[in-house]
Amino acid sequence: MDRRLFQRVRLRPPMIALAIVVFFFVGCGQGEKVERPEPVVHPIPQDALVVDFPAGVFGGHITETVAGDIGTLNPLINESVGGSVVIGRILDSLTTLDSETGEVIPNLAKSWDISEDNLEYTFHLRKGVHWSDGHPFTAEDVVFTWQTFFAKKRDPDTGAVLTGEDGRPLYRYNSRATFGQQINGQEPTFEKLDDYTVRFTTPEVYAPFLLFGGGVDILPKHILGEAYGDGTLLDQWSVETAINEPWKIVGLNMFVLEAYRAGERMVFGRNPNYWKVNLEGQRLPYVDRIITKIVQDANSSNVAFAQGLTDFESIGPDNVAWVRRGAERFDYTVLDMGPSSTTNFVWFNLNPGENSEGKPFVPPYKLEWFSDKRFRQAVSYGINREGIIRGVFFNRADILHGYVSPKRKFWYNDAIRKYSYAPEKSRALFEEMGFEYRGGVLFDREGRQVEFSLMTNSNNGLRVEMATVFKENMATLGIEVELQFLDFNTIVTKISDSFDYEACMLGLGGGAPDPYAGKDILMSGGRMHFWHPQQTTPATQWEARIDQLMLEVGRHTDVELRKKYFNEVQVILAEQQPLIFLVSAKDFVGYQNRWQNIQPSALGGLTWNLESLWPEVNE
Amino acid sequence: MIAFIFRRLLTLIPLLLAITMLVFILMSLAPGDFLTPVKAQRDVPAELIQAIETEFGLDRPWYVQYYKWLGNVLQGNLGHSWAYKLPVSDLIGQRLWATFLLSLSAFVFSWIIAIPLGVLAAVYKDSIFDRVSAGLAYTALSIPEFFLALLLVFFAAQTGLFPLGGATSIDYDYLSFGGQVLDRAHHLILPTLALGIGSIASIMRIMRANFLDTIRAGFVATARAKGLRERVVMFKHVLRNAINPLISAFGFTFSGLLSGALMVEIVLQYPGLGQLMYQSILREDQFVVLASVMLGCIMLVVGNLLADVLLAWSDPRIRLENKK
Amino acid sequence: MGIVWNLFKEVFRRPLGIASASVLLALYLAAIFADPLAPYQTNAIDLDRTYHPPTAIIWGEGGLRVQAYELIDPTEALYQAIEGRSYALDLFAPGFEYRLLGLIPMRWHLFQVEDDAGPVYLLGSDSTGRDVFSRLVFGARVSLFIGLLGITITMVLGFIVGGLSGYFGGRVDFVAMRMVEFMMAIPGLYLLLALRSALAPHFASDQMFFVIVVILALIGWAGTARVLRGMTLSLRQNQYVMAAESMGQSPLVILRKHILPNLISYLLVAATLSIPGYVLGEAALSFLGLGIQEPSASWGLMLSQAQDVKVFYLNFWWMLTPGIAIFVTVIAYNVLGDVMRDIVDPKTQTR
Repeated sequence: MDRRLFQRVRLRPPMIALAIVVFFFVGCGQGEKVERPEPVVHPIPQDALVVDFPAGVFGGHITETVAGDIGTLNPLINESVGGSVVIGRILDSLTTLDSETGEVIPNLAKSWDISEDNLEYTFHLRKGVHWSDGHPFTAEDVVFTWQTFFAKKRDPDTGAVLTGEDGRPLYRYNSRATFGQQINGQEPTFEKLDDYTVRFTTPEVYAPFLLFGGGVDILPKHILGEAYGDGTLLDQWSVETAINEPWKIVGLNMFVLEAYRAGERMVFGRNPNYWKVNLEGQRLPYVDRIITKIVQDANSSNVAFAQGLTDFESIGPDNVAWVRRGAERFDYTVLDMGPSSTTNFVWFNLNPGENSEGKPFVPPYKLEWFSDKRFRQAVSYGINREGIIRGVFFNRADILHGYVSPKRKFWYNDAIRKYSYAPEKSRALFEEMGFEYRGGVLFDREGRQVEFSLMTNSNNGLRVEMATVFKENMATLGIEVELQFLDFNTIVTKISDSFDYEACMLGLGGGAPDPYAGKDILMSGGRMHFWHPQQTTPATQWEARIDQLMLEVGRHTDVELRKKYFNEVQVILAEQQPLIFLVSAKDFVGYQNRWQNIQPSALGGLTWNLESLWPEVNE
Repeated sequence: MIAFIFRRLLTLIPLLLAITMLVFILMSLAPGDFLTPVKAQRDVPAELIQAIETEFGLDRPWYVQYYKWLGNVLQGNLGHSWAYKLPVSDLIGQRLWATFLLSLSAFVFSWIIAIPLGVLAAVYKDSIFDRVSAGLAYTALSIPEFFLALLLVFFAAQTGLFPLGGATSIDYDYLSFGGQVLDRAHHLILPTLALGIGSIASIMRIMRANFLDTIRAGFVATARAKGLRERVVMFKHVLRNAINPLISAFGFTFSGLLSGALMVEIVLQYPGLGQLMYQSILREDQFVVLASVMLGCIMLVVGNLLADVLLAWSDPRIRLENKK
Repeated sequence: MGIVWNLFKEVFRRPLGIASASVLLALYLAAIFADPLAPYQTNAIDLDRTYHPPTAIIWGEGGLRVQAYELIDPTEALYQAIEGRSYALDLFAPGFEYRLLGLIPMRWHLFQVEDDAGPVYLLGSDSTGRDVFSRLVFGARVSLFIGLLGITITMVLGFIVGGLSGYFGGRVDFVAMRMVEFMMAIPGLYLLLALRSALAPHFASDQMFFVIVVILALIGWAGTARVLRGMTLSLRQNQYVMAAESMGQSPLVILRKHILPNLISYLLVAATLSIPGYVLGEAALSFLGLGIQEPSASWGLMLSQAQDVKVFYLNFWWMLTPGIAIFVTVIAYNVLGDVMRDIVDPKTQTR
């Protein structure tokens, strides 16, 4: 072959290949800058809320990470943490909580009147507020939102309300709010008095109405009204909408969704029609956008923060030690916010039902064990909580004796039965039940070996370790536990729909400080009543008693009276152990030092005043 | 040449069909059908479930399902992902590209390093360099890829020089074009290292062996006798001929790269096809699993085809042989 | 059998052969005798000593002693040696009960701390205080024997398919080779995962060991079959084989009496060089959480537990020792296989 020809041939393909590679390198990864319709920007509303923080400089952006992807952006169905974060940024409510005192303060409602008999709540909405797309916000939207909760299924011909087996009406859009907003099984009524006034009437005195009723995220009637009418409401604001038409997710809060790429990142932009201003009358928020990267788990999230890549972070107790090390180099601060509201617990599936093929959810002989409170108590005595705090949480956690975490100092009842680590007591209880030990292994009355499976989510490292400890603790008691580490969504499906499990370890976080926030969990009809959700009538005496007590908690406004009833709830829960509580991690947060107006509080966290935060950029 | 490629492509089609059928059978062995995890979710419209059931024939025996699935695939419909609530095709494109990029860069990296090393080891046979590099090659071959990836993460965490995962930074979309290229490259460094080091070892050894074999060949003695300088003999004649057998190793390395990429992607949280497949298996997202396995196989088969084409291009005897 | 014996004699004449064989022997012995070797059981948690660094062994008071440590910062799992305090280390002392080789109940262990006064962590402890060294030797059982079991199945399968197709040729050969090509066209790990996700739900978690062996064997047999087929093809022309055929011996007998003996050395070499693949395959599966699960220990499982970020940042390097164990095993097998190959087939030497 001719040498020159050979050399030419040899050089060209690689160069071309290289060029193509570089070109496509970035090409296929282009960001999704979707063409959005321009929103109409209205002037600052006459009732704009003035926030009391020193004025700052506009511009800058927030980078953050969130562990876990969103499943949907429809607030009526969302069950994921990621989803709540996103929705919470876009939608807003009539009332909110003061970050210091925990009292209910005005938000979209500028004021309210409560009637003498405590049954009527009249909210006065801020005038001149507009949705992020420019449509005016009125009482119509509030009424619409509540209609979606309680819309009933009707016979298409007669228009009569359809009822279920128990005589209760069937709801069109069964969401958490449908049950959550009912007061003792009845619906509050609501009516629009004029464009900026809404009146709610509760069927009986309901102390936390301002908090729970007022805290509902308001939905835009002009966007969702049509879907409400034709029955497709629950299909709206899905992930596909978020990807292809994010501008359709219209809200009243300070940000709107600009772009979303599944499994990768979300970008939020400033709401041009936001209704809060600073002391100089300038429309907030200061930052232009928030870029949120979706990561696999909380650990990856902490890592990103520790490398100075993100601005705000909630730091796991086992990671605080090393995250702190980077504080100087990357210029951030780590704060100890004291006990957190997160809880961890184990429970046994007490659902006696059967699946569609007639097979019981839990084998009957095991259900018999689980249903005996002594079994649950014995298990509780056998768990080494102090060891978990020391070894797994590096001493940065508190024991959870009962339902209320030590953070809620006011409502916490210390006079409940406690279960310190005492395997002898466990064994005594088993013996009382007629169980016996053969060679260190526990057998029940009929001679069957005591064993069960426990599932928990695989993406939470600390929980995986707690499960391992639990298993070993049970092994000491002669019980064999099979651990199943599953994907979080799989677990949610099992505990709320298929009930195909024996025991589960999970946790909850957040929640308002009012004891009624746990209504969904504690009352037998609640969807989050984990061990046996959505009962039509209480399955046991004690669950019936708790239902009664919770109603009293809701019924009275006298705080001491409420406390008395709620104390009894805690006593029952501690005695019955339907949820075997473990530990509560301490709360640590971190933020980049360049952020101004940071005022963290135990109740509000780090970013309760997000609209007032701005970054000081060092040139 | 074109005819050659065409003929090879034809033989690949039955292979692909067989692979996908095998995977399909495997999937149908798993309990439940593709829709079990979804029926329990509430935010999936019943109409969509119904539509997918008919489209993919999920209530029919597996061969009917396979036939329908194949038909759908050929039309570009890869099914629906339940974890992401998206059509699979939307999900896979991005991931496929990321894995391809990683495999390519590992491949290029390993060749660029291995070939000169192999040649040098052959030229300076039995020297200290030769022995040391042989020892290092052994070591590199024996380290499990995911362990190497773990060690690299350890290293990144301690030094803070490299990102601990992902393919792009958080504010990637707001960087300039040049910035984006650099960002991607920066994120590719560790995965490429983890993936490429194993290949370096094997390629280097093969290169060295081939070089030594070629040196003994007849035409080299002729070239020397002609009085050509030693360096010209080595690099122009020997090298060109020694490289040929290496090209056939292309196919093996590509297969290893794909499998290895899966582990590396998971440890380094690089959002590629392998990581997607792993996550989907955990979440029982059947359509995605099926699609990603199929795509992995296709990539492998295409890679082998490329290797054959390259070989045919560089060695005319193969082209001509097949024509008979 | 004489061939095999000669092969091994040759291996032991070479330094590399001796070295690699001894390493492997040591590893397997450690696995078999894990019970006496390990001071603690695999599941003995100790929540007061999580992420404890390896305890230093010192010489004092006329015997071996274990350094005592105290936890000076629980929030960081930071331990410091207590000056002057240590525990006596007893050799050949009684400890937890076990059954030697599954039969003989025994109690003595290679080393134990006197009176159980404190812990002896040769390789530190993990996230729930379990001794890494003990888990390592018990985990060796799974990781090392899965390879042996899998390779046996593969070799048998590969020999039957490869041998038969090489011997008969024609259509049998054609079909078999297409199958082999097909199997080799699938990226190994992808197929592994797909197989695992298909088969696993049908089995309980303690049967996972065998499920994984089966899966690995199913993936590996193709390559072996192809090589054996090639060799059988050439051996077929051998005089002895022709003679046996003309005498009317059945093909299976011919395979066994004439072809197998000639193949054995190659089989052994191929086996030795393939076992690392199995060890790595099991490690990868367990690492992903798809293989051996708790309560069993395996090296891959231990590595997956080391994947926590704080391990990297707080420098708990001993959590990575299972990876080194895997590495040593793989290298030993590779070196041994290469030595054997050099002996069996001098033409392929790269010297």
